[in-house]
Amino acid sequence: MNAKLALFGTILGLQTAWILGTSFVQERTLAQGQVVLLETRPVDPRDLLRGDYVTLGYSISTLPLSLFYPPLSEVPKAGQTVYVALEFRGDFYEAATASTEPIFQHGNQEPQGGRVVIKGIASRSWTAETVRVVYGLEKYFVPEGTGNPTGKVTVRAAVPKSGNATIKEVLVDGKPYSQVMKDQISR
Amino acid sequence: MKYADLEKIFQAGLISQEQRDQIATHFDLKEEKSRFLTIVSFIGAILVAAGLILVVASNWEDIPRGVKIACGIGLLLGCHGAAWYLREVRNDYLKIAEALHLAGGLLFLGNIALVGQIYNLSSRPPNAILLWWLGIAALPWLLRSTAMHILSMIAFITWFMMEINHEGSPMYFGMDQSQILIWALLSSILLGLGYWMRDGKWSQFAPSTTKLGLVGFFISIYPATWRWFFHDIHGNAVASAWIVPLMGVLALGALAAGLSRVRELTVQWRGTWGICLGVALLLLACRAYGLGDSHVGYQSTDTDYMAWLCTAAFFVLGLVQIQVGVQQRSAEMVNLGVGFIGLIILTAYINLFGSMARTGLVFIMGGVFLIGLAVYLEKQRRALMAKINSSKS
Repeated sequence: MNAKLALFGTILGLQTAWILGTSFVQERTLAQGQVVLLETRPVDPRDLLRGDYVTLGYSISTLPLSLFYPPLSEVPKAGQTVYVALEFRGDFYEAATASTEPIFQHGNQEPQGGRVVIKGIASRSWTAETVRVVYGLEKYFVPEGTGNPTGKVTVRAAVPKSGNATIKEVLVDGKPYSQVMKDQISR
Repeated sequence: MKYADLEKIFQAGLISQEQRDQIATHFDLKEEKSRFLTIVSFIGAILVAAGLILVVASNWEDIPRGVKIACGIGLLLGCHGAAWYLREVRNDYLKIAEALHLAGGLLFLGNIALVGQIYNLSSRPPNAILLWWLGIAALPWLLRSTAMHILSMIAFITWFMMEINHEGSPMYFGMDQSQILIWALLSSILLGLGYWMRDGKWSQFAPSTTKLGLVGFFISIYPATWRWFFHDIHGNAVASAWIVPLMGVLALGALAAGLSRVRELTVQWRGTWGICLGVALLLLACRAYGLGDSHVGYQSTDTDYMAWLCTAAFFVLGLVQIQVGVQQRSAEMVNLGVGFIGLIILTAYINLFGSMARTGLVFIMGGVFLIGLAVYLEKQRRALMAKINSSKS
């Protein structure tokens, strides 16, 4: 009985530990990760909403093969990890260089000055010259019926040292998404 | 003595499971079931869990993230805790306790979805289902809960289905309808495991595993009887090279090991049943890999003779299953076999007369044929049920 209870408690403990652990990691990323402002591109202008989340595409979601260093002879296979160094240009962070190997400055294991390294996964590319990358920032969950914003959508993402980014805030014309949608619905 | 008293003696550790079963058989004691309470409890558990998942999945904009997560964990632990109290401490309301454990299992999935929603996690959906399965996989064995076992199998099958369809996965198998071979192999593994679990301490899980395996097997092989079969003839699709051989070995091993424990069948019948299942898998493999395709192109392929060969072979398989079901005194097996034969005949009819469907006469003929077939099959099924019931009594 005691052994059974101990095993049962261990299983529930592990389940709880995953929930709390994932929440802790995400909260730490949001609190300590470097915040980058990313420009989005509509994935499908006719249907931005799928269910109760907004599908987000980014300008960094499609990378030219020429951006990769060391140079690649062919596009990475779907599922391969891709590291992208982001650089602040104008109003947004944009891809400066990319690699299938971790991007670090030689010797000191730190990204080059001013750059932020984000980690993504290569997905199937439609052309031989571009690489499609998903960063885990492609879904933004919204209240029902508020998935059709009008305006320019930008995303503030928190990027920790591991490169696994999290959406911190979604903005529509520079204002918080929820506030804009409340205004649009009340009009 | 009631079965519940016997169960209490067993739970107290005074008798072994084998002794409990022997006493129950000797005095013909059966578990008292309040079907109404059971059904209402399970529907209630599913509705509560689904409702909570929906509520959790909807957007609570004004509730802090920590509160949402605390509510999720509280519900999860509350369900399991209440179930443990009812089952292990009070030893009462066992069905309600099982339903609460089931709700707890579903709530773990709900919590995974909640965390994913709060932090907008979107990468690799199969991982979420794998995590769910890993989180609940040990519970059926620990709690000896058949409901949790079924939930665990559903979780595993769902993960497997998502994983082999996820591009970039080492298990990715993008060969469209050819995937039915993998489903049939997975069903065969479940069927073999179900047979294998009949003897031993996990025998309570055997019926549900066997039924799921058998139903899955027939659903998987059925499309091979269609005249029009789509698959990637160009060979463009990416498909894992090792998944089919590995699953083939596992399926044959599981069936061989499992069938050796089906002692109510003679060795000859075990062999016949095993060979029939193996031949069905072989035919399905031929169909899945395009043996006999006459047309080249990513389109329907007119492989008449393979469709008819599969139809004839699966008809025989259905007949053998009915005979096996009669020998095992299993009404489910007989019903499934009769139903499968009916489906095979219906498909053969569509394959044969489908091209003539423009004429009204075909519909009239078809209607009469189907009514006659249904009456005949039902008569045969009832006769077999009567035979099984008389042999049981």
